[in-house]
Amino acid sequence: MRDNLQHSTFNLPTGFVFSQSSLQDYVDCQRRFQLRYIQQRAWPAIEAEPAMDTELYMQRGSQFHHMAHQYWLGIPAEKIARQVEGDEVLSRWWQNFVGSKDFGSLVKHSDDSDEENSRSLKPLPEISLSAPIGDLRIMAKYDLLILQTLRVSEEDLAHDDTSENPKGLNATIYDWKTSRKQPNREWLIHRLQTRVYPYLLAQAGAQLNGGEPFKPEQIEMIYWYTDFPDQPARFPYSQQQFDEDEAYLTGLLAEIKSMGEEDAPLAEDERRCRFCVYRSLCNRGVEAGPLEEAEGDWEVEEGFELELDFDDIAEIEY
Amino acid sequence: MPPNSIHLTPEQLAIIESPLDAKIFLEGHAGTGKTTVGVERVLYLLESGIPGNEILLLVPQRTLATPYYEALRSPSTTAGGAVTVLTIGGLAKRMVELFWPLIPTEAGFANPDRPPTFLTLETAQYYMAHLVRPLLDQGYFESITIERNRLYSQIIDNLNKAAVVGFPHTEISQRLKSAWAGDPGQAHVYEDAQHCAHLFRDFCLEHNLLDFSLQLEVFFNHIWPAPICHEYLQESYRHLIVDNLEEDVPVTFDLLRECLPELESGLLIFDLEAGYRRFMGADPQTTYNLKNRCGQQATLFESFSASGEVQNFGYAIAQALLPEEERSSEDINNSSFPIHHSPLDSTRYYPQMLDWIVEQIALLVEDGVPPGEIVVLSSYLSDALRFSLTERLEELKIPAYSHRPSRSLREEPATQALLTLAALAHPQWGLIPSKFDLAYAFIQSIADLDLVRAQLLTDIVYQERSGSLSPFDQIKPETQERITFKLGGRYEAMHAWLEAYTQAPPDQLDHFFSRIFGEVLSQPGFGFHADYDAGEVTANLIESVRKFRWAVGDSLDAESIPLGQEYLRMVDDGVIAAQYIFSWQTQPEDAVFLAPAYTFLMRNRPVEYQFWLDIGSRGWYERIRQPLTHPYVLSRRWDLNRPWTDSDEYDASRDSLYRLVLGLIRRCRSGIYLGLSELGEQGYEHKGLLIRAIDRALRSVNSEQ
Repeated sequence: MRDNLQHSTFNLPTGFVFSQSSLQDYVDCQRRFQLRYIQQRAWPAIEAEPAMDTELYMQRGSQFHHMAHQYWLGIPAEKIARQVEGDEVLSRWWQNFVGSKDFGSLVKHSDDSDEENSRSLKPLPEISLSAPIGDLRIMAKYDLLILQTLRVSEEDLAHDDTSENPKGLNATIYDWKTSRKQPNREWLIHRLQTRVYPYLLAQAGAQLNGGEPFKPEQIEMIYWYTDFPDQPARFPYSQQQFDEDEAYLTGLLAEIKSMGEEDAPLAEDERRCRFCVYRSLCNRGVEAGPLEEAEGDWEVEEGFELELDFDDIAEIEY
Repeated sequence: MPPNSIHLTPEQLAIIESPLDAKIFLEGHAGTGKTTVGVERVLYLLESGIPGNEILLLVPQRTLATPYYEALRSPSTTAGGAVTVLTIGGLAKRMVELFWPLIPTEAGFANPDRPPTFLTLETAQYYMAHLVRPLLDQGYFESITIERNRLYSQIIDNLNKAAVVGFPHTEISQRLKSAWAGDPGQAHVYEDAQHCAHLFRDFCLEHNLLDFSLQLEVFFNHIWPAPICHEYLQESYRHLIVDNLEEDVPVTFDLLRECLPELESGLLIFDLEAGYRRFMGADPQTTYNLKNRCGQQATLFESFSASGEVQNFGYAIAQALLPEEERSSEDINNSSFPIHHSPLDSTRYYPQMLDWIVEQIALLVEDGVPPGEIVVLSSYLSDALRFSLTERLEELKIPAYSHRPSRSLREEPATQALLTLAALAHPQWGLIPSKFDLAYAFIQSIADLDLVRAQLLTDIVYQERSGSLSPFDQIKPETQERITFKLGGRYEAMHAWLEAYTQAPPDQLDHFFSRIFGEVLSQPGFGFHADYDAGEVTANLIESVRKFRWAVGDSLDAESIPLGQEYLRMVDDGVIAAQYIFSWQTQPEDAVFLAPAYTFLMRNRPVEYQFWLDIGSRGWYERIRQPLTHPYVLSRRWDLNRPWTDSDEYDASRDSLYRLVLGLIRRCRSGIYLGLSELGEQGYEHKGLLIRAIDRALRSVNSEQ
């Protein structure tokens, strides 16, 4: 039997893979991380009020991710739009997406076969990457990765001996954000997602780049807001940021590994507890907080709906 | 070279390190290291620079992908893209979701501009009940006696069989009738079933609903042939690994036959003498034909799981199960089978057999066998059996867990309490709880409240005719003292919450459950506080309601039927929340596993010791009575117009037992304990095929000695 199949790190479930959201949970509240990921406790309280608005918010976010995925697979935008004709919010987001200057230009160029344009684009929607950090593993699911080839002359290539301004393949990470307000840049900088996504692409993206790892300077992370199409938040990556992120993530994972069996400390900022389902377990409140205060924090992923399909019922007697 | 190749045989290594464009068909018995080859092949592809996102792993059931998940999630695995792991159903659903805007009109859906709604088994069954119930009143199915819910599920099963085998659903009754050799009156029952299948399919098309069968049919008939979808799959996945191909269905064969030539590499793994999912449409004879489509064929022989003695035992039973003319004349040259059986003189009754089994488990654990290396297997794991065994093991502090494919959500105490509180909070539904139900809900909801006080409280505060509660402070002081002020305070908090709730517009039922769980029941002083089991049950109930709402909410709104009222009614009828899938992920890692034999097989993990319960039972091989469907007749290999006879039934039973026994034995390393009692769980004496085969096998060895 392979050794690594027997691997089990401290008290995390076997095969546990970290993501930006589980790491963010740890940073926000160690107890929440412990309950959610180590002990895997289901605790189905309301997350934010009104409950129906929260559900709609999550559903729309999920639906938008799905539509963008369909778009990049080549399904005509107007056919996709028809599916949400009755939903004013989703229709608006979709119009913003299709008509976005920033983003629309990329879409336009993706079909451009003009040699003189001297660049080509390869969209990779909903792609996942993972890599080990020490004896743990971390993964990310990207809403969209755009690889852009700059066709440079051989002469340019011969002189390209620096990593300061590399030419060749650039990688842009797009992450769709469906919140009704745009968080400030400083807040975004400190989100685990802003650190994990570009870091992981640099670490695990070699197979997308002809076997060569992306240099950090080739990577840019963009949060694209469905209600603010002209104000994407751009985060160019750098070697310095990569080094800082590596040190930070390595330290963070080492800290998580040192967690004991006892109840982990609760969040210092009790305001977070209003949006945490475990609040009753921690004696940190009764009612959920308002959605408009919470939504910036939430990551809506495609597949919000819990999976349960025929495979699960394989053994039920008929 | 694979990173951990030290434990691999040269034969395994040769397959793993085959060229990156090899298409390989690998066969062998269970326990010969085929899945290990599959896992290592995936890792080898990754090590060789194949992007993970270009690899598709196809398995017939998700549990069978566990060794792959474990390897892929290991920190020692190469960084890169994620391998996609799917079942054929999962692939179909994913593709229908993605390419839906292109196909609804040609696929016959009435609302092409609306998104699809995917049905779960529960919601499909709900709609089936909705359509069939009125027909029952008209005399449909009157000649058969069967629970209504099983009737609905068998009609759904027929549709699923048509989809996985690949014949039009309009041919269901024709196929069933042509094989029916009994009373000709049965034929009209098949017509009824066919009519109901038609109605259901038309209803689904009318409302953009996709049950499992329609997902598959839309995928195979409309998405797979469309160039954009075909190209997407072709470009996305260049390398394919298929494990447990023998458990997969004929349409998987069709798909693989077509796409194999287009792939760069493929590894198809086939377990010989298996095919346990026949009742789900598995067709090993059909899928085995893919062998000829692969340029390279390989077989593994050496067993890594079962010891020589265990294998000999398996061989002896297998021989005993074969018809006399097929038995081998070869000697079984081992007289020391590693089997133990319960002593008949002291295990006449079933509970005595359970005692013996638990004693033997305790002895093994004392000897240092990890509990996770022990399984207790039965043909069917009833609630009573599960309870009896776990209680006994708990007393000895031996960790154990059971995995039945499903548990009855509505039987859970937390569910019953929540449903009662929901009825109480929504008087407009007219579902007034009984005093008994309310007292029970109080016991579950209010911490430290005992039965006597719960009944006293209910008698005083509950007006059963109106379904309303009165405040605690209106109770006489001496009675308040009997109940205690502490418990009274808790009751009053809950009462006030319910009062406030009824004054406002009602929530959706799932939101109601979430709210009352978070704001009352899980708060300090209430019954669910820090009770993780109650949390999980509540989460499952909420999920069930939410899926119900998403699937049927619009239809009910159109008829002005409150969803919560309908949900509770359906729970009462046993249509929904009767069975529910609990997570596979929350299993303890080192505990005795209690399971039905087939569930253990589908987990596909060998253990040191197996306990077989009640080996006299016919449940080990007999099919469940299914008057409306038939897994063998509705298969690709059954000749139309050939009647299904008693002889076919006997042969099928014996064949399934043969495969089952070999499957179990090949997943056992050290020893088997046979539990037998004169009287079975139901109190009847059984001497089925299994016990007779074991008896014959043992006698053959004894006579040689």
